[in-house]
Amino acid sequence: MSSPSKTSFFSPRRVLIIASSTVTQLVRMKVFYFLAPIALLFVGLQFFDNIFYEGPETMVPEQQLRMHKNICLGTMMFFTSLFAIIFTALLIPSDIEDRTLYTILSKPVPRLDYLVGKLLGVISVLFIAMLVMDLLLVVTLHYRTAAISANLGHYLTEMGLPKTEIARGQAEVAKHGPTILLQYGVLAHFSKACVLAAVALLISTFSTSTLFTIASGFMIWIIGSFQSIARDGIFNAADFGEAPGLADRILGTLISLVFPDFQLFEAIADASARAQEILVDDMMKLGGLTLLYVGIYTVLSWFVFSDKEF
Amino acid sequence: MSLKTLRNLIVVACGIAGTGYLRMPVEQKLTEELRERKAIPPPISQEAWGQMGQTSLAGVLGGLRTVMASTMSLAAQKHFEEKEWYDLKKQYEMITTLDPYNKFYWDHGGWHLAYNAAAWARTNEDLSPIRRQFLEREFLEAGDAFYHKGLTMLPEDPSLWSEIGRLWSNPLKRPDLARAAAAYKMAAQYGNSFYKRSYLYILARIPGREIEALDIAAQMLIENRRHLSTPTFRCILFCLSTNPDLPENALKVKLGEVFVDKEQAYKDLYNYRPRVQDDGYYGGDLDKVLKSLIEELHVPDNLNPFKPGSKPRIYDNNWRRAVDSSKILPPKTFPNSPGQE
Repeated sequence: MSSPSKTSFFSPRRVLIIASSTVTQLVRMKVFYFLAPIALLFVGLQFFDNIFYEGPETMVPEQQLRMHKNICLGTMMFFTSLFAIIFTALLIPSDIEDRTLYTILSKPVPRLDYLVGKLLGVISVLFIAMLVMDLLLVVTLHYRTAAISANLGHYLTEMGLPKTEIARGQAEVAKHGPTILLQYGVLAHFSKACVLAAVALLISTFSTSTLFTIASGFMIWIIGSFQSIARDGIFNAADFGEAPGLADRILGTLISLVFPDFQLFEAIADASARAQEILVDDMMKLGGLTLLYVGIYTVLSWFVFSDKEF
Repeated sequence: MSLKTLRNLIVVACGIAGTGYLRMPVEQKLTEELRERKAIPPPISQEAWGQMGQTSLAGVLGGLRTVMASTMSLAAQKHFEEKEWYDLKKQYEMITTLDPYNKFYWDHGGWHLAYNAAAWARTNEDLSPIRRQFLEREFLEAGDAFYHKGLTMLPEDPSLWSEIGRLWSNPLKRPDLARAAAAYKMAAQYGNSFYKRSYLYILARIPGREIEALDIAAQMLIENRRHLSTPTFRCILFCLSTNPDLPENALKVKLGEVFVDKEQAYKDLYNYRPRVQDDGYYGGDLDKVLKSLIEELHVPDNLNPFKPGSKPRIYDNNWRRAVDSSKILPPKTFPNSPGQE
């Protein structure tokens, strides 16, 4: 007679199984359909040309690429953040509603595995969506850059500029094409979406309503975009002229302590759209912060979820 | 609320606040590093918050500052088409608040105000002449102020300084060469040879600053002799060095030290002469030198600026035709000319 095997505290295999079933669950919800209008938008931007960008006085070809990147990266950020909150908010209530949760938890599956699996499933779906959008961005931007570079070459040749000057102008345009810097921006937006998913997971362990989770997730998204202002008020009070009062300081400290700082993620993405230098070190720090946020929110979700009665 | 929920809430709050306490300095340090490198824009002012529309507010709240700036710049085109200049100015102020490190918006906003709005005011016959002048001046100054505001965000951007220089040296505006020179000086400080030459060219147009201009030209020549490959530079350098008021120790160049041969000297100086007459570039002994070259090279009347009739600009092809059909001598080279180095 074999002795009953003890369930391990955490099993990556179990997590992967739950994650893959979560991916299937979300795919069945037809979540990838949103990629169709996004593809149309990205391709449509290829043909979007403004007359006011033409003419010698305003000959700034990079701006067209910058606008292309801004709109595409902004769209990617908006949809991944939106879906990170909504998907995660839907998962636990959906599992309760169709009784899957009871089936899973009645088996020797630790609740941590369940939560991490669910989160990983959402992150995987976001990753696939981000990857598809990134591919679309890279392909459309590549063609746009090539077209703009050729136009610029033609324009500068007609102006009689030497080949070295033309090559310099085209190199400047190429900097705004699909480069590694652009991928840093995509990665920053993906990291932000992961943090939002972890936030939504934490809220959903408390909440009894999906709507509340979604609404709270949105509020945290918005406040997170301005958290740095509150933190600046504490660290750089002198820069604000008049020193903040006690109430402002308390409020600022609370906001800074509780809410994540999304401005950092957005700043990296904006800098990548401007083709501004981003250091690997910056990305490492951002990655570290993402892991910290996701880690702490997951641990706290587990704490709340561990003795939750259904 | 049950006791368990309350306990959970307290633990969660403490957990978040505890890690918040640890991550705050890290985030602040990274923010400051990125801000120093201008990757993070300055916070939006209270005034700008007040002026923001609902759509832009929603976009900004969602972390879409640059996307909002891009879409607002498209909307600004409508104000331009409708000639709503004050709305356009307000729109560009908002755009640059949202995306302050994008040079294009500063450049474009300044251009709309200083060129389009000012030209509209100048040519608007519905306005009285005094009002026209007043409005034109107002928009020129607004454009200049917009460029300067952009420079507070991008202080080392030579192209914005150059735009200010271009604005105040534009003969179709209200030229103020001293302001143009001040701007070009800054552009030259941060920029390349082109900006340095632009600064020199403006100085060469300001009466009383010819000696300063020659000093700059001499300094540029020490830094890089390739400036001599630019015809206008050659002409300005030569003409400035014929200034009778030059101090003893000033650079004085001979024709042969600047031009490859007499033919090139004539072509360049001939083409430079209209700039002296129309744009106020320094001429010095230009006419005297041209006359002596005309005599030496037997220049035909159609390419002689002192003979009546319209004078075309000299290009290689019309010069060649003139050489073939007249008695112009083969180019006379100067001893130790730049071309023989």
